[in-house]
Amino acid sequence: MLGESMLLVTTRHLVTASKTGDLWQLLHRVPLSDISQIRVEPLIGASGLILTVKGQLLRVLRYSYASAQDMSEAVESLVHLIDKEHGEEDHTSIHEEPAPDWSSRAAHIRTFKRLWSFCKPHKRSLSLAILVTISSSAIDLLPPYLTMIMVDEVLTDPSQYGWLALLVLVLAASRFLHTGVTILSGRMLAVLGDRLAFDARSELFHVLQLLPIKYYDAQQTGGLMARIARDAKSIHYFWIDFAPAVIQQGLLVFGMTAVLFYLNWELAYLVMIPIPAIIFASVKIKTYLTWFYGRSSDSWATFFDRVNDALAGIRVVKIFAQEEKQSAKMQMENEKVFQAERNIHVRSRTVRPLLAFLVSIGGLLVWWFGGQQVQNNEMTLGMLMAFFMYLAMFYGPVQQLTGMADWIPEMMTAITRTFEVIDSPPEEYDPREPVTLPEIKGRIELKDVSFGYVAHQPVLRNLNLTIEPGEMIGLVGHSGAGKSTLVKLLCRFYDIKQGQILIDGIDIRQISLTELRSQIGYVEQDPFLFSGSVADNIRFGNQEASKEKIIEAAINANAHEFVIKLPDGYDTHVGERGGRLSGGERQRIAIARAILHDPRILILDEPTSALDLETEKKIQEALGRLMQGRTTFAIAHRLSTLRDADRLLVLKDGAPVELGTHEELTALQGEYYRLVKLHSNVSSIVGVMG
Amino acid sequence: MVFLDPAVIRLERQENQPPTLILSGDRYLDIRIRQAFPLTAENTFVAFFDQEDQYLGMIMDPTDLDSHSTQIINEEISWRYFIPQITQIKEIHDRGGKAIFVAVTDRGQLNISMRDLRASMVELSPNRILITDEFSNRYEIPDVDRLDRHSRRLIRRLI
Repeated sequence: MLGESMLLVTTRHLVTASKTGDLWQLLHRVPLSDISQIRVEPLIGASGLILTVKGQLLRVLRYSYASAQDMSEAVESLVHLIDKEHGEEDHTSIHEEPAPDWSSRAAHIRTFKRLWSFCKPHKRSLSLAILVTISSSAIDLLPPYLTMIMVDEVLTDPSQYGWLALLVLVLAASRFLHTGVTILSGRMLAVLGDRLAFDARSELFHVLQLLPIKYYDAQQTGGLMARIARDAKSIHYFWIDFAPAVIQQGLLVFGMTAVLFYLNWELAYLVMIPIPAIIFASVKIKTYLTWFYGRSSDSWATFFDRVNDALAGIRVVKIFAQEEKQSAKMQMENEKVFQAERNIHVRSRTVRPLLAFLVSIGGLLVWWFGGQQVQNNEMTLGMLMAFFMYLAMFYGPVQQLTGMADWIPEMMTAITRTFEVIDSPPEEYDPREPVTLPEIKGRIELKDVSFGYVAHQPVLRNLNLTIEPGEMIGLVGHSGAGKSTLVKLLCRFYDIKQGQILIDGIDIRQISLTELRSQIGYVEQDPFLFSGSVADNIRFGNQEASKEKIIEAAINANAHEFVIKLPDGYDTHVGERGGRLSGGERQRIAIARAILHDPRILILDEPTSALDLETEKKIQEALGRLMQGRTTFAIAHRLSTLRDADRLLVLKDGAPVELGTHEELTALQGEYYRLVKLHSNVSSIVGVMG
Repeated sequence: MVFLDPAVIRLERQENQPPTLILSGDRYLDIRIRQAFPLTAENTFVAFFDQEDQYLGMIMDPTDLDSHSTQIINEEISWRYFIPQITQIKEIHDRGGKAIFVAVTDRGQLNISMRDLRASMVELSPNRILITDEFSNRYEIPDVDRLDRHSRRLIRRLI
């Protein structure tokens, strides 16, 4: 346990204190003017806050991950205060819209508003469907009344033969009409429901496309797929199964109450006795079950994640002969889903009959007191029968409404999760004051760039570099040195908060994202191909490209000869993630895709690793053509592939340590020289082993 | 250069033999012809390969060649690409997890069996469907709208 500590910041001082018993003890009191730097050091199970005070490092606080979010915000504010203290204006801070909080109780109202916004475009069809549904209930009022007349007036008198025939005909007609109206309302609601589910899936998927990469860092694909598949359907359930039923049954409850009081007010009072207990129990059950539905949803999301992992990695599983273990793991997750589902179903199946029992108490009271009234000739037998029929029509909706109590938590949990995604802030595609960038020349300036995925845990530090148009920069460094992070920043997958990245003199945050990314090409180690034809994949970044252009790009990417030999040539379907092609083939199609995209800035992220020599040679040739005239950033662990780079930037722990040509850096005998030597040693070891 | 110059290409062949390509005066015997886009741009973008299956080059439109060469290319394409066209679907039923189409094609009536309908039927463009059966035979419905009403009703249930 870390104990209880406090970080207090005034306009002049930073103060930390810790609590021992009931007493707070002052630990540090540091003037803000003495602090030159703030750093968060990741520890195991906690983080440490470290200040640079008058050139000396000072550990002021340690905090658990539970406080990480609060501390991150506090440190952010602290940095601004210190900058102010040092007279530095903050030019680079970005205001990020916080995602709305969907977990609070107040958020339920917002959920309903959002639900309405989905239905609004279809409000006319919904109103019509609900009206038709209500009509079917109204028609239902007729049979009990006719029954009363039949029992009291017609059945007791054999001379009323004609009336009997007429009443049976009217009953038949009402049943026929009721059936027709029910079919009509059912069909209308079904079509509307599918349309709403379609809208929800479309919006959810569209939003998922617009969300920033950092959103996906925190999510797993299986969980998101579960949301699209299951949770989005909850909006359909709400508007189609839930809302019309509530309106219809609610109106029936009110209508039947009036009818029961009209027929016999004394008995009607008895009917109402269990109602408060039913409402109270329903509300309690809803609260009780909500928690279980949340756990069920979580267990399903984890289950989908595991299934997704297991199927995507099936080759690895088989090679390591881990089929049984994977099955056992899946069994565990399946068990959790089973437990979560059982928790819900056992509980809801227990409480529902209990509620039904509460409801039946009213019926028993009517039998006892209504039976006495019939025996005493205070009420006719026909009226008692009609009363029971109406009573069934009263308790039916009451039971249905209470039955819905266990729908509500599940539905609202799913709806809330859906809106959590839909209302997450998307990437800011167009800045507030965008600068148009007709065609990038490719001059890139990095000015004091520092960045960390977690606030104040920098992955890149104080990077300064100017790259001329058409220049090739090789990024060198050990794993985790910050090479990939740098190229991600260029693509603006993440926004920097310190420093600036300028393209042709313009801050990339002022350029519209679509415009920026349309001029950047990215070839990665294991390129992703979409399910579709080879041609579809090559023209991914330029949908209007002609077939001639596709072939030309493929020729330049050394892909044409293998593509044309595929059974359907460029029309060949590559399968999910391009699984029907080899790694080298996928890579060459990705290069053709980049060539056709015709970017001004090119990023090559280890594109030739894990390939055989012949394929690597073909890809190197293709890359050579691709790089011509484009500003290029290339990352490669195989340093020999970077010899053609105009300059090499060597990164160590996120900081630039060397910059120069291969010859210059080799002569320097520094970090680059060390890496080259290490690499050639490894290569010779591999050579001896092979 | 992406495409060969049609002016320097000629094809010839003896009856029932693979064709010979004369390219800028060089003779290539037993050549193979492949299409770059056999499903979306038939009879155009034609590539030539030599006996060793080495790529020689491609032309965009075979009709730019002399009529005899064009005819040879068309014959080679219909030899290489065998895709009967479905003209009628009489019935569709499920047998032991396989979907069976009782269909009439331009080559006669047959049963087409598929293990995985989703993977076996590819909608190349709206209304144009490529079907691959469990033995990798291929069939095409060029335009669903041009099928009779019964066939249309059956196929629409699946796409």
